[in-house]
Amino acid sequence: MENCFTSAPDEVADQRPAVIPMRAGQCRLVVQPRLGVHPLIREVLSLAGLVGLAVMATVQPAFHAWCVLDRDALASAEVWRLWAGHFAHFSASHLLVDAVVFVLLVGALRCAGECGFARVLLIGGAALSTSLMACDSSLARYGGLSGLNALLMGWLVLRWFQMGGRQRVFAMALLAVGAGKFSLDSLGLGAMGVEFDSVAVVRSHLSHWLGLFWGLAIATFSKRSAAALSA
Amino acid sequence: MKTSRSPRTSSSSPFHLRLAALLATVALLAAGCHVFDGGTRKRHNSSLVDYLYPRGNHDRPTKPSVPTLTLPLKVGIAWVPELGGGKDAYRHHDPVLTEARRKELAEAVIPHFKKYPFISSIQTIPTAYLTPGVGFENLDQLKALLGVDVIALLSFDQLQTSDSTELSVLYWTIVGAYIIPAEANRTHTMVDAAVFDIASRQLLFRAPGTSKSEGLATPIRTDDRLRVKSDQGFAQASTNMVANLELELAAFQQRIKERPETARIIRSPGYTGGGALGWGDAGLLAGVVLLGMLLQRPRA
Repeated sequence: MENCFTSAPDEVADQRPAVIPMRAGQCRLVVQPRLGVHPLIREVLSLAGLVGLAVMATVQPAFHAWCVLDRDALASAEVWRLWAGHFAHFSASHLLVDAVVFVLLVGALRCAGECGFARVLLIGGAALSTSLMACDSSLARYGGLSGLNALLMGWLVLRWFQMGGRQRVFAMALLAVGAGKFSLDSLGLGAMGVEFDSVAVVRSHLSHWLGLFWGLAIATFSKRSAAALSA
Repeated sequence: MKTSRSPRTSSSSPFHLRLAALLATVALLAAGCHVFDGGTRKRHNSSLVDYLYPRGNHDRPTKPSVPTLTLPLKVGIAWVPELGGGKDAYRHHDPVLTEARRKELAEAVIPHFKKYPFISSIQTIPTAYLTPGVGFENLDQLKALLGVDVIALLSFDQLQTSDSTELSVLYWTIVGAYIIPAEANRTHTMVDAAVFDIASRQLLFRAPGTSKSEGLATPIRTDDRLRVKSDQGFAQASTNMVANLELELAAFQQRIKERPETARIIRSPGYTGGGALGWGDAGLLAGVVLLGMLLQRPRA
């Protein structure tokens, strides 16, 4: 019999140490506490780490060049840019507004009982970058968290919608605000709130739509959503 | 022992004295002429205005419009042909800058601007490609021929003066002209870069670079020294111009941000995209999210 070690969800971690026998008899799931750090502290530290990474990828030109999603570099197998590109920004105000919204959305999702951010950011970040490069052949370079913000927003919309009641109203309101804003931007009627350091950088509206799409898609096909839908 | 002077020596002595006196007079006159000749002046310049608006073309409409910059830009750098004197001024003139030196100086500018993401390529254009007397139509030809969207036209003005100092009185010794550095040379150089959008014929921005140098030389070495100083002057003025050009470029970018009517920016294949929410949009989004969080029912 094999032992499969995995990190425990918060609900299960409260009962530690625990051993959950697997039905097939091939594998026994042994739940272990994650490094003995409180989950909340761990999540806050992870979030701070991501924001720190975004700050570095914005203020350090060399690191920025290493992070930004670049079509040619991607073709040269520099695959880390699929994720790192979301953290490279083109001005301090660009970073600030994106980081504030990112932290807020992560907080809202956490309050709604969501976890597994690492998995979603890994899958969603890569899917968003790949689809953006595939859909916009003119785009040579991309940077910014707002695509991931749109992804988290899509995730939050679906989660709130599944919660029902008053949250469903907020889900619809959030979707209306997001989709309305993205539509206005796509039509060229949106207000420009943040400035980029270079005039050569233009806003990528497609990244928002793709982010929203991937957020809704990932949330729809996640286990929690499947369980909620079947219930 | 009695010494006697030879008759030959005694007869040539007055001749030598006369010859020496003549030479001294000539040297003194030459030195005097050099001292009081008021110095020499050399001026070389190329005029951007004369190139773009040649004589008889001042009234011709150039149809200026709002520049539309398709990013990333293809940029060309060219030296405006040098002005000489006379009717066919551009043709029969010995240029102060050789074509090879022009290319070197223009290529030194390229690394400073290659780093900008909105510039896709920068190429130097030989002066031979610039036809004087045609004006903006020549730039249209360059756009069609080389595919450049924007051109940086480099023009210059260099003045060199050489004046004798008080020590030049020693030139009468003849040897003094070889060893006494009594010629005060001054070289003033200005290189000006004007960046034009060819399609709209609009000046986007310009930046000058200047240099000034002084030195002393012997009359024999003055021409050599002036040639060296001329070349150094161009190099220093170009370096100064590049620094100013970078500042002007930053100011131009700021101007476009503050007054978008200054130039229209459109994206082309190879553009850089930034995923960004505006402050207002982010505020609205944050309001809905915060309200949803606050009014959320506690989980069972």
